[in-house]
Amino acid sequence: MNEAQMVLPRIVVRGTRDGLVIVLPERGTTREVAISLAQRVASAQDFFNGADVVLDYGTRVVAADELTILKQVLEQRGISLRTVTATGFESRSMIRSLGYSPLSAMPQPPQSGAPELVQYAPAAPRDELPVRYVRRTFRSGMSLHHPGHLAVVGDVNAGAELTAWGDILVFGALRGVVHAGVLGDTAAIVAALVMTPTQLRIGNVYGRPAEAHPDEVPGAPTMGEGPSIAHLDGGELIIAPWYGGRDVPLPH
Amino acid sequence: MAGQIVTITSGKGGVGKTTTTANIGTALAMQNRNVVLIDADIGLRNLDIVMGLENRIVYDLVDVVEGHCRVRQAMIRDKRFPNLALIPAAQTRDKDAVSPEQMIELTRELAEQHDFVLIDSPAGIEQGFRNAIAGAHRVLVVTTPEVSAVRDADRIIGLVEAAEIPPPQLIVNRFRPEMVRRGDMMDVPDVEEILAIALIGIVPEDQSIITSTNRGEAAVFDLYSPAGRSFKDIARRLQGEDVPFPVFEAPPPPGMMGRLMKALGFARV
Repeated sequence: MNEAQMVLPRIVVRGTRDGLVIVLPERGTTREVAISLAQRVASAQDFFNGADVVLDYGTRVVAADELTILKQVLEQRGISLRTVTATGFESRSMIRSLGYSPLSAMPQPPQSGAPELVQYAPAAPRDELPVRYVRRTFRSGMSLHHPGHLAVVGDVNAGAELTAWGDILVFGALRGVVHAGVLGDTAAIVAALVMTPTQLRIGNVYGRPAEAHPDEVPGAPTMGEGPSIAHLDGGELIIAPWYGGRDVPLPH
Repeated sequence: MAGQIVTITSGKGGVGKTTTTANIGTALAMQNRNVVLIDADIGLRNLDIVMGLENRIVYDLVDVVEGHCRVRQAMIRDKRFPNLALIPAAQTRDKDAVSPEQMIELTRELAEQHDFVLIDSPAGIEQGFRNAIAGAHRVLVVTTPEVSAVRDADRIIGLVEAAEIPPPQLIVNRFRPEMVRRGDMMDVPDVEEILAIALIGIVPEDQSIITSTNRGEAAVFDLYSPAGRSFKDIARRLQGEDVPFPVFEAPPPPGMMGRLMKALGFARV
């Protein structure tokens, strides 16, 4: 059976507050897992390029030779291994004996509840991520996750949640919670005509822009918030007004 | 021609759904329409109290849907208007006692003989709410000009839209112009900007609501009640009339002159 025909065990990749975490399946031979991992990385090579990841064994048995192989798979593709972690006392002891420090807490998922990836988008430079266009207002309680860029014509009301692998554009009033670059892409941006989010998240940075304006009548729309773009600069969330024609220095 | 089935809902509790239902229903009856009110807040019934009809309950909504009585037997005629009736909720049951399908069937049947079927929805977004909007032709969303209520109203509007009912209309209740002037309360345009639905009424904060509720009488009977006047306007707008919205000004200044003017009925509220 050649590689293309094997049903490979599933590798899950999560964007967390600890960065990218690759979660290994409990079952599967070393060979199967190595091939699955290689394919997963190859399908989004640009995304992983230069990343350093945490390898989470979960409930999989930790074996020294397998770890060496998986580490090679990653390093051959320009990915460095930050550390290895697992649940279970014995697994964690084994990891320590191999020279790694398991994470002291389980990697936390992004709070916006972006689901685990079941499938990865194919190799995706920023310009080629799939874009979802939605022409509606998101009312309180509505949510949407998109594995690409998200463009909304309408408002995103407080109590609504949007998450995207890429950028999020709101041609309307952004009052809810959005999470751009939800897998950990710190170069993602959020743009809105009225930038008054309850909370703004890009990559693994969470910001609370509303607390910068304590004088407004609670609940009333904030005056003077024109079109704006939010991005990360050195790990800090910056919201820049858009003055049209003047370039906002965006991350690449 | 079949009548309109209108559900009054809010999401948030305590913003005035029951008061609104009672007052709009009574105003419509005053304007010679045939009206039946349904209290869909099973387990926490209030519409009977506000209408002053609690002592006359023999059968209720659950008795009707379970077939223990005919619809007519559960309809309690209002004390003053023969063209106004109430089907009360059950107090000893809960929201699961009725299904959306049963509500649709009942309201359709009632709409054949009434101009308006008004349904007083419970608070929340669960079964009670779903029952209340099940047969609705149109929905009125009541909110107060305050963050939590508006947030809940937005949620409710989203759920109403998802149920493929035409966009609901907005009633801003317990409005206090003096607080808006001080910048301590959201103004109506602030609420409209967030909720983005058409306004059908602004009802000012009015102490006569409390007194009229305690007496079991709708505020629309009180000619001096500003809230009563607003509810009458809403009833007219429901029938398609284009009634301009009042401009609310702050209460008159305190002092002898102010009190004198108020006592003579010249207060601007």
